[in-house]
Order: sequence, then C-alpha cells, then structure tokens
Amino acid sequence: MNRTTWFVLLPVAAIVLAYPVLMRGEYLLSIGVLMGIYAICAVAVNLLLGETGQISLGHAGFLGMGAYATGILATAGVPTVLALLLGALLAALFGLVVGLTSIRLQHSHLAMATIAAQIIFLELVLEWEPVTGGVYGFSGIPPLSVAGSPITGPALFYLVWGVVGLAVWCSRNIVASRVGIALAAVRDDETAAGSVGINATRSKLQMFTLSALYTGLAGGLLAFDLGYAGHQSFNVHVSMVILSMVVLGGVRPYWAGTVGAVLITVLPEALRWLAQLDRSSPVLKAIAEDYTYNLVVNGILVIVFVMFLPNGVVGILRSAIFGRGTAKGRNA
Amino acid sequence: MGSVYALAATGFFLIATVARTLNFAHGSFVVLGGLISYSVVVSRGGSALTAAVVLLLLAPLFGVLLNRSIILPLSKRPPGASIIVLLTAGLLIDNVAILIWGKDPLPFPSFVPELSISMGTVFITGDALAVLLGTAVMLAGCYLFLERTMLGKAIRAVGDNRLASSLVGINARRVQDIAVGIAVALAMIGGFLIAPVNYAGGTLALALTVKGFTAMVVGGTRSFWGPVAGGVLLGLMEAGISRYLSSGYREIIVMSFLLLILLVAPQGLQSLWRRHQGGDLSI
Repeated sequence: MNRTTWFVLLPVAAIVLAYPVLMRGEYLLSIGVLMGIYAICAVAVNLLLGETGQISLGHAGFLGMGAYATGILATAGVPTVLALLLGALLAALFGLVVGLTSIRLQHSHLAMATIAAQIIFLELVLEWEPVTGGVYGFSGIPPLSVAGSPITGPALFYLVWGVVGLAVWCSRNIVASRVGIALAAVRDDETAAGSVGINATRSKLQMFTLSALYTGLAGGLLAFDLGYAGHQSFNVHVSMVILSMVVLGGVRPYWAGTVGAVLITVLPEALRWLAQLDRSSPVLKAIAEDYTYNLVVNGILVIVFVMFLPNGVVGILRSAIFGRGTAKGRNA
Repeated sequence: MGSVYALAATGFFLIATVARTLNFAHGSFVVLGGLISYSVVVSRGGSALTAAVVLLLLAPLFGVLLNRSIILPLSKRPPGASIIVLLTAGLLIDNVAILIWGKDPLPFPSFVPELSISMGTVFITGDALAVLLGTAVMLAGCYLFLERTMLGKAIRAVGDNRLASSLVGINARRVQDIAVGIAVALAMIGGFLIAPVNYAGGTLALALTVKGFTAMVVGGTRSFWGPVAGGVLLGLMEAGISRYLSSGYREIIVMSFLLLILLVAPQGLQSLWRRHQGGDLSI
C-alpha cells in the first residue's frame, strides 16, 4: 500500500464509520445499506468486465439466486449465517453453469446467453410458487443473527460495508496475482495469451463463478435487509442498473464500480430532491414519483458515459488529480 | 407470432451482416411499432394503411439515427461499448414508451373482424391471415430488393466484404444506413401486424430481442431464408408449448433451447450437417 492508497482509503473508511452516526433515521440508513449491497454487485461486475472483458446481463439473476436461496433457507430454520453462505454458493454454482456458455461465446452472443439465463431464472421463480411465493414474492425472512443477537440497523450497515471492503480487497489480490495478469492478457488478446500457455477458458470460468459468488452474497444480505425477496428486484432492468454503476464509476480499476454504485443509488433521491424545488410543477412531481424517469435518466447517463467519458468518474478524477489518468481507452 | 419472429430475425440478420453488431434494441422497435400504430389507428382514428405508411416513413429516420449516432461511432471501439449502448438505447426506448403510452398493453382493433375461416377443428381468424400475408409480402419484397436491385446488391456486398465493396465505389456508410433502416422497418411493421392479436405494448422488449436472435441463430445466417425459417420454427414451437404444456413454461423452454443451441451449434442448426462447407458468414 503506497501513500496514495491511504490518502483515498482513510477518508472513505471515516465516511463509512461516521455515516450511521451522522445520517439519523431509518430511511437514510437503509439507503446506506442498499448502496453497500449494490457496491458489492458493482465490484463483481468490475471483476468480470474490467478484468476479463466479458459482459453479463445475468447479474440480477445471481443476486436473486442469493436472495431467494438465503431467504428460503433462513426461513426454514437453517442458521442465518450458514444460509447466507449457502445462498452465495448456490449463486456461484448458477454462475458456473451460465459461465459455461462463455467458453464458446464471446461479446454479444455471451450477452444474449446471459439475458436468456436471467429470463429463465425469473420465470422459474414465478412458476415455482409453492417455494418462492411466485408473483407475490417470498416474505417473512428473519433478520441475520450472530450468536442469538439480530444484526439490524447500524450493525447491518457496518457488516455490509465490511463485505464491500472484503470484496475490494479480494479483487485487489486477484488482479495483482498470476491469475489477474493472465486474465488481463486473455482480455487484450486471447489468441496471444493462449500461445504462451494461459488457460483462457479456466480463468474466465473462475472469474464468472467468483463474480456470481460476490453477487449472491450481496443478494443474501439484501434478503436479510428487506426481509423479503420479490421477483421485480431481480429482473433485467436491475442487471442493467448494476452494469450502469460500473460504466459510471469506471470499468477499471477493480474498485471503481463502488463509486458508481453510490452515485446510482443516490440518483432517485437526487431526482426527488430536485422535484421539491418547485412543488407546484406537475412535471417535477411526476419525476419524483415515477421510477421510470429514474431509468430514463440512468439510460441517458450510461450512453453519455460510454460514448464520451469511457473512463468513468474515477478515471476523470484520476486524471484531474494526478494529471495522468488511464490514457488507454477502456477495453470493455 | 412466428411471423413477427421471422421479421425480427431478418432485420437482426441484416444489421448483423452489414454492421457486424447485434442490435440489442431490436425488440424495442417491435414494441414501438405497435404503439405508434395504436396512436395512429385508435387515438387519431386513422386506417391501418395510414399506420403502415407512418411506420414506413418513421423507420428510416430511426434507422439512420441509430446507425449514425450509435453503431458507426462505436464500430471502432471494443465490442462491449456498442453492446452496452445498444442495450441501454433499447431500454431507453422502452421506458420513454412507458411514459408516453403507459405500462399496460393496449387493445388494438382487428384489421378484418368479420373474417374467420374454420378448417375442421382449426380456426384461423382474419387477423392471423393478415399477419401471415403481411409478413409474406414484406419478406418477399425484402428478398427481391436484396437480390434484384443495385442497392440490394450493394448491401450484400458490404456484408460480404466491406473493404472490397468500398474499393468498387460503394458508399459503405450510406449502405449501412439503408440496411439498418430496412431492419428497423421490418421490426416496426412486425409490431404493427401482431398488435391486433397480441395487443400493443406491455411486453418485455428485451425478450423479443432475444427471441429474434434465437430465430436467427436457429435458422443460421448462411442465406436470407435461414432466419425466416428459424422464426417460423420458433413460433410453432411456442404455440406447441402453450397448447400442450402451460404457457408459463414457454419462456423457460425457449430460452433453454437458445442456450443449448449456442453451446452446441452457434452457427445455426443447419451447420450440424453442413459443417464442412466453406463461405461462413460469422458475425
């Protein structure tokens, strides 16, 4: 860790520690928890998109797999921590199966395959009503508890952000490891990487599974946070929202997605705040109440960023502060 | 429904060969076509013919806009960029459509309400016939255009070899504009034709995109009729599943089928018995 890392890390840690103290009230705290959960997903997509160049639109499916599996297991009486881990493992297994398609497919075909996997997951959830609750969702999930004491409120917030830190730290180690360097080689030129003895298939599959594992863990935390798992939280739109976090934050470095996750989670609140400036305007009122506007703004942001600011917010800040920046365009 | 898949798949195929990219916003244009014709026919009291004309006027505009603002500028970038932007553009169209027309599917008046033919136990409504007829006319027109006119030949030439075609004086950018325009027109007319049968709007456009893609992959991209056959096959398959199983499992089976095809034969089903022939049109 060099000085710059500490320079960034310490204020972030301070903000995370101070957040539940400064931001009183359930609502603000729940937004903080949600930010953390999406930050985990964003790190997962960062790993896949930034390090292997693979696009997945199935991540809401992995999130849902984690949430439903954790919720159902915990409700059935499995210790909650064990349920969380099992949920993440099941999501990883699902990721492994979907990742199998990445062996033969690249780019747009892979994106199509992950959309298909996502739709299959969602339809199965809807059809398997006795277990998943179908369209009504699965409710009554008990809170996460360690040694008999439930973890809610600020404790859950710290736990979620602790997992974010853990995920970022794991990603850092992976990126710097042999596997990470091999993956970067595969991403930049798969044939060349293969010619120096890198097993591209295995590394890509590993990343797909790991990415799904992160996301499944986030899903489990989401289930405990909400006490509910509903199909509408895990559709393709959510996959796109997660992807947009990464686009906004930056595809690389591996942690840039967390910044995007915070920005995108705050977006509806920002729109609501904007609407309060002029309460008499019916247009602004509609913007505050209709989530569709949020998705529209989100979409416009994504297009603008990919076309004109491909290094994301983190890339812009980097070049503004250090005067260098990631000169090489993104490789997604 | 098979006809719509056939139209969508053909449009997909056109963009895929000429622009070398998959149009992830394709399903959104199908839905948009249905909704615009709803506005023309129901809200404005226009005839079905007016709706078709309006769509045929609008489609090239959308196509050129799509091509010039997204597909061409991103063609030099890594493929991920255009995938993300096209997907987002599709969702943007969907959400703007929701803001304009609302979330619920809108009932669309029948084209030919009084007509319905029965053959034994099978009933064919006039609308279903209209869909089949309209699709056949569109596809035949498209085929003749591609085979017989200079412009159509130019589109195929650019699809075959972009560099060589620009060497003989073809303006590849303009040809791509036209190809994308035709593809969007096919998608929007498809949405218009299916509206009386399936209502306008209210469907998941991305699922339509994936199905158009499925039809293209199933049929293969070696000839014009491959995607068409794929679309018809997919439609029949869906009808069969809805009839003999529950319609809820339809999506699951169709999507699993796509995954299976992508894993086993990404070049299309016919490639399984034609593997050794050359001239592969890979995307």
